[in-house]
Amino acid sequence: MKALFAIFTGFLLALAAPAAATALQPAIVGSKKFTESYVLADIAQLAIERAGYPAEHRQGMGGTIILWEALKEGAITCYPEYTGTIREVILKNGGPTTDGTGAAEVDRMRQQLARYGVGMTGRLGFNNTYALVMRREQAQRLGIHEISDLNRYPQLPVGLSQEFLGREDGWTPLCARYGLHMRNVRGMDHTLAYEALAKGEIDVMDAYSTDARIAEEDLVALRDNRTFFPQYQAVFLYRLDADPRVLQGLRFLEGTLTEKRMIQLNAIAERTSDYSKAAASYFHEGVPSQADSLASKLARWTARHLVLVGLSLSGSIVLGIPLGIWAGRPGWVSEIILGTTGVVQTIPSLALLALLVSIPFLGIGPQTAIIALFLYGLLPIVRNTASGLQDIPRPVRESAEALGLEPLARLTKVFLPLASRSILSGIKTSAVINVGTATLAALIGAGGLGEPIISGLNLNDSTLILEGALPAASLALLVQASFGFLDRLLIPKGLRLASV
Amino acid sequence: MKNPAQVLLFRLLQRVGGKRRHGRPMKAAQQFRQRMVLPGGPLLAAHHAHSDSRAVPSGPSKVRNHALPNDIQPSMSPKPSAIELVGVTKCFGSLVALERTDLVFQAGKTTILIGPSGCGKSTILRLIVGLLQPTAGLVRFEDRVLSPETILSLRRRMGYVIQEGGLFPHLTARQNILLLAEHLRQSPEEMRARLGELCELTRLTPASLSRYPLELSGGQRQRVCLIRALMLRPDVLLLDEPLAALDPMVRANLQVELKAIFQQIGQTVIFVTHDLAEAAWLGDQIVLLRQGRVVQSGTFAALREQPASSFVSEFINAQRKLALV
Repeated sequence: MKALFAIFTGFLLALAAPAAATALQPAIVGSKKFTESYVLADIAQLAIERAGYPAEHRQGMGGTIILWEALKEGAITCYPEYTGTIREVILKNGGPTTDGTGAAEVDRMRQQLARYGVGMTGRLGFNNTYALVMRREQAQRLGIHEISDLNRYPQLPVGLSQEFLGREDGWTPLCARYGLHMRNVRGMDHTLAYEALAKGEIDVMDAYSTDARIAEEDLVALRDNRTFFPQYQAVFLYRLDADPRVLQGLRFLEGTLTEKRMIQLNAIAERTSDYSKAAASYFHEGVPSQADSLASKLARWTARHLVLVGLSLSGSIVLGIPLGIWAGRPGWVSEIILGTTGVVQTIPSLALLALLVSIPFLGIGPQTAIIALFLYGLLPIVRNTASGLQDIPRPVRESAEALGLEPLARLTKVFLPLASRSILSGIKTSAVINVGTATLAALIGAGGLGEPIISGLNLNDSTLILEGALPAASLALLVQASFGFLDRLLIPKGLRLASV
Repeated sequence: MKNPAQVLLFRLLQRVGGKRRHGRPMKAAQQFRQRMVLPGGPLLAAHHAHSDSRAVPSGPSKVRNHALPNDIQPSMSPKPSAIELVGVTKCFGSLVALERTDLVFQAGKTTILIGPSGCGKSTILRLIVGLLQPTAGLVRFEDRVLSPETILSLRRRMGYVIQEGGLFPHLTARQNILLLAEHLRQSPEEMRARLGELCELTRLTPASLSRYPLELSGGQRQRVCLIRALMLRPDVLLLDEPLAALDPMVRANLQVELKAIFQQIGQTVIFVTHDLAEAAWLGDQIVLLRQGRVVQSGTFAALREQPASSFVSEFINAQRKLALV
């Protein structure tokens, strides 16, 4: 009876799970209560929608802690954040430091975030660090260019946002670093502080380096001559259990926003008081082209592509050749190996990716893509190794045996060299297939030359598609050509005579 | 012994003898010289376990064997039987390739296995070298029985040459020849010396050594195969129609050379052919097979003069007629 109940429950769950998944809950994009956060969240909403998933922007929810808690609890799916804030406020990793962008540091942050079920995208491209700003005219008059110059004017009224006052990389440690003793310091709302500065009610305030008003109101940021402020690289934090399309949308933004561009977008938002206009203009102007030169993007995509193909192909070779040797012997094991690798090959690549993504521990990212490519690369290598060995003429096979070589020596000194042509052609097939299939890796956030292709498809932008498709095709041709060279290197001369 | 090649072979033989029989080199050489002088007595005893009483026993020839120095100096005698098949049957599915056969190949003699296609002559060679395992019965190499455990070490004491295609195409002639020696970590000096001896023995031009099998003529390929088989000084040389794929001129030349080589090395040779003239020319002893059974064994003269059955006369006459055409 219990068993029956269990089966019944399982059956219900099996029915319910896909149903729950198909009723798409829109992704909730949170934002902090300031312009740039609004603009970024609006851009993210559009990007996620373009990736084919519904999204809502829940505006101005408050400060870092509120958004962080909301993200952890699942009330929101993602929100824009800065690496400095993540390190100092959320993860509380040690005292102020300007480092925080090294790969090791980023990896460590990702690991720490993952404990909360939270992931972090790559940098969007700009560093919005804190700065102390003054009116340009007054700063020049007083000869204040650097933060340390403030020491000469301890009486200047300072208006600071509450957050900056309380942060570990905020006011108090800043004063300690620079030995500041400002006597007239007030906490105030950030937007109000700009007005106060304009009116002359305060002379110094904290600001973000990408604030549109720095340019608009002719303010000047004091040089951080003791490099106190840490890097505040903009990223998105997202729930790791979010739909792949959410991540795809967010990753699309990576590296597309320079400081200049962000200031422009902030300015549009402030001028028109319409954040969605700024967001729309982000997509309007042929997205990332300004942010990053095409050459550097191509280099990044290609490098990632080669990593995906290289790692997966190495795996296919390392496992494929021994499997092929095994499959080269007559018997049922051979049937099983060739059958299984053959079946893997018939799974459509998208379906295989989807299958693998659903496996716990794999999920979204390069590791899953590499495993999928590895599985795809296996069959040609296994099959060609097996057939290369099976095609060795009987007299040669028996001579090697009768000579008195041990089985392993027969394999390494005679059989594998004789099968080398076939094995290499299997590897070549795998490599070419992998270069093509790896473009799909971008679908699960693994990057590579598929990134522009998929973005281009989403944006209906054929130029963008070609930016990925052409290099991918050339790469495949290059791989093909380089195997001609490998053939000459690896196939014994005595065998190449046969084809002359 | 004035011919330099002969002198060299003489030394080579000294070494072979020294290694195998633990005798003093000079004595081995004497033995060799004596053997060269003596007519090849049939050392082979073969009889069929079956009721085939027509098989001629080799009793009388054993009597002649007493003249051999082996028996005069028993302490130095080679093992009387190099290889022995005991009640060996080999079936491939329902096909019986060899049926309850007992055969003794005695050391130091060239034995020819001959018969029409499918008579089981190649099967015997393949059983000896372990490419096939007997369905019933056993194969003995000196005092050891061939088994998966012993085959590897025993194979290294045999040289095996096949009709065609036995060389590894990805290796040069030299690499083919030295493959096993290098695998067994022989010293380069030793290998070089041995290779020089064998090139001289088989009259292979050293320039051919750096060629790949595809760049060699058929005759050169078979010489290389022979050198490879002899490289590790095997106790037994097994040749499976080594000349069958060659054109008649090359073949005739090699037959002459092979005879000289067999006489010079004085080793146990088992030679498979379907060519009676070749058999008569090369063999001390001829074993005629038909449908997996031994029909008759003895010298060529014995087969011709005292055929054990009408099949023997037919077989001999068929080929002789051909020679007369």
